[in-house]
Amino acid sequence: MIYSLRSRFLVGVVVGVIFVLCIFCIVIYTATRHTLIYNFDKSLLSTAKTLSAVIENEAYNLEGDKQEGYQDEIIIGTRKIDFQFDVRATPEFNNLYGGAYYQFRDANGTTIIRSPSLGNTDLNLNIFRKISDVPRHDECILPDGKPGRAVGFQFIPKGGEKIANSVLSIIVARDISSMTSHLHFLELLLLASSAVMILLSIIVALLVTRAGLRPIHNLADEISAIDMENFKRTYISEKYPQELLPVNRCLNNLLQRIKLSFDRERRFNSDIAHELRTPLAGIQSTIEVCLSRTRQSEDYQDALQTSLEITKSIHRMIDALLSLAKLESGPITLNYEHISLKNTVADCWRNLANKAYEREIAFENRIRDGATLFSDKSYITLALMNIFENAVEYSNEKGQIWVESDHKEHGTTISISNTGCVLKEKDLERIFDSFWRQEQARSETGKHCGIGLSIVQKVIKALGGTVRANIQTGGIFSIHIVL
Amino acid sequence: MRILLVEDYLPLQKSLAKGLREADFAVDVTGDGKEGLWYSKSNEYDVIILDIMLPGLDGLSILKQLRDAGNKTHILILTAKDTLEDKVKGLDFGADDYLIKPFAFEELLARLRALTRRNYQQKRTCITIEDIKIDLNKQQVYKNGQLVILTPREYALLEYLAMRAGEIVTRTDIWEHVYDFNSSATSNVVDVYIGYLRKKLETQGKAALIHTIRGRGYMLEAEL
Repeated sequence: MIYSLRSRFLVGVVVGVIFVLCIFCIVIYTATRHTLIYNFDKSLLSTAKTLSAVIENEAYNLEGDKQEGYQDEIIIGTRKIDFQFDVRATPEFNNLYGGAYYQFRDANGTTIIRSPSLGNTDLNLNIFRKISDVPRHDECILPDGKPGRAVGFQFIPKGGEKIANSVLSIIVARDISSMTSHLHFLELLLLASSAVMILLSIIVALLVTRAGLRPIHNLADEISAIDMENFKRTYISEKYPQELLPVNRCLNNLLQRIKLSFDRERRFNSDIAHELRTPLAGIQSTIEVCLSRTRQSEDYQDALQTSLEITKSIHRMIDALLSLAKLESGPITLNYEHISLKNTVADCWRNLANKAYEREIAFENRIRDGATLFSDKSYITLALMNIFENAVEYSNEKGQIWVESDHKEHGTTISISNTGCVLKEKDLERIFDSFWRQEQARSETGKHCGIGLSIVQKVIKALGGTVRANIQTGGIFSIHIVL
Repeated sequence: MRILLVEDYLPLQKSLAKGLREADFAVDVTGDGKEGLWYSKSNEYDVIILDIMLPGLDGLSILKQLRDAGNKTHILILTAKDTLEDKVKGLDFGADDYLIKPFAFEELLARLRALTRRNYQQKRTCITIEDIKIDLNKQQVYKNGQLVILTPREYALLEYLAMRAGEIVTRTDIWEHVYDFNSSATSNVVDVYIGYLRKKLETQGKAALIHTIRGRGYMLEAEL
């Protein structure tokens, strides 16, 4: 699947920014909310403690004072509870549903004092059923239906220490609408700023991506500017960022390899063209000259004979080229079998015996009887035939050709040697190259195109073996095949 | 006209030499680069036909050595190397023409004729002297419009004299440009052939065409 670096980078950046912003917003919102609630609860508790401090408990005394407005007296059995709090000063407690509420209950859970803001209703908060002297805060729904927070705890009012069942509990609740609206505002602020941040991050990411990917575009432009036809330039400059340098180096290596391969192919094609053009010129010239005037029948016969010989040499060359092409086109199918080495060598030599006889070349098959080789017979034959043709062609007149084999643990070595070698040591590096011929053999243009040993090398490689050549003193040239 | 053919592919070498000789060229042949250089330096050729890939010494090296030595013989490169680079290289090394194998033999002959004409600053393909007309392309000679039958050697001699019409041509010049390396004829054979030409071309009672310049040679000219 094709994917874009730019879109990957963009998606990565946007997802990252969203994630970071989410964490940031959650932390900010939670911290702010926590702080607000903490301060709210602190204030609520402070109010509750103030209210609890102004209540007094004492034994019932009918002659007690009663100050109008801010002093309340509640008689419970033999107890009198004074609540010295001027509710008028705090309208939120005084007005019905004013937003703040308090409620005192005795040990039996009976409400003994409630703020005027409650009217006749109670703060029926389930969480305060099991109230203790440790202040407990919680959210609640206020009598006016608004959300609020409440605090409740048990306490012994002043003067109640010596009176049984003097424990009272207080619940103070206050409207949190204001705080909630602040928190809503904060929510909106954070969401809006997050959206703006995401938008900005997309823009910045786009710009950064474009700038960051520019070297890749430049590299692509430079690569596409390379002329694959003639490879006038095969080097990509090193001006790219550090991250692209390995790619750059690999590309340069690849370009060099492609150039070498192209050069090799071009040279190969040029060599083929050369090897075919020369004999074709020979045929054309022979026929044209022959037809240029009326001649004796022997002249025509002579021209036809020459043309036939040239045609045969072209045929041989095309066969060799096809073998080479087949070997170079990829893995070949091999049929392994146990073959008699001595017989195979003898069979191959039979095809060249006449030619060797004409040049008075002696042949000796020194392979011992019974020597076998586990290989593909047809390819071994192809390799041996090419080596023999070479040996017969380049050995001296009245020379000698012999074949030996040696069986060792690492494999079988077949050595084909001939006398009359005029090659130099440095020529050995090139004898397996296609179309390479020794200088002295150049006069044989068209007769041998110089791909025989190249075929041998490729055949032996396909068979999993190795081939090498050496020159010994006395002009003995040997080819050693190890399989 | 005398030509050196340096070509290593024997079938081509043989057929070319045969065709060129039949076209009245004196031809020396070799298939070896070093031998080709020796021939080029030892004899005066009108044109050298040179292959590039040769044993011994390649054609371009021969060309370079000849040009470096001041040899001005026209050289035609005859090769299978057909790329633009090869052609440019060959011509830049000092070749006068470049022909790629395989080629039509007629084309090779036409190019050789053109190079030969250029050798003698001759642009015309027909040379007329008095009532004699020599068609260099068809290699035919007419006298008063009538075809004159000449042997190849006679034609070669007349063509060489005609190319240098108005100039004194020494026997050595004739020997070097009309006869090849293997010719075994003696030097007075030139005089014999001049005699044949006079018989076939000159009219009794009219001024001579081929003048003998005593002690120096011959000159083809309408009137001295």
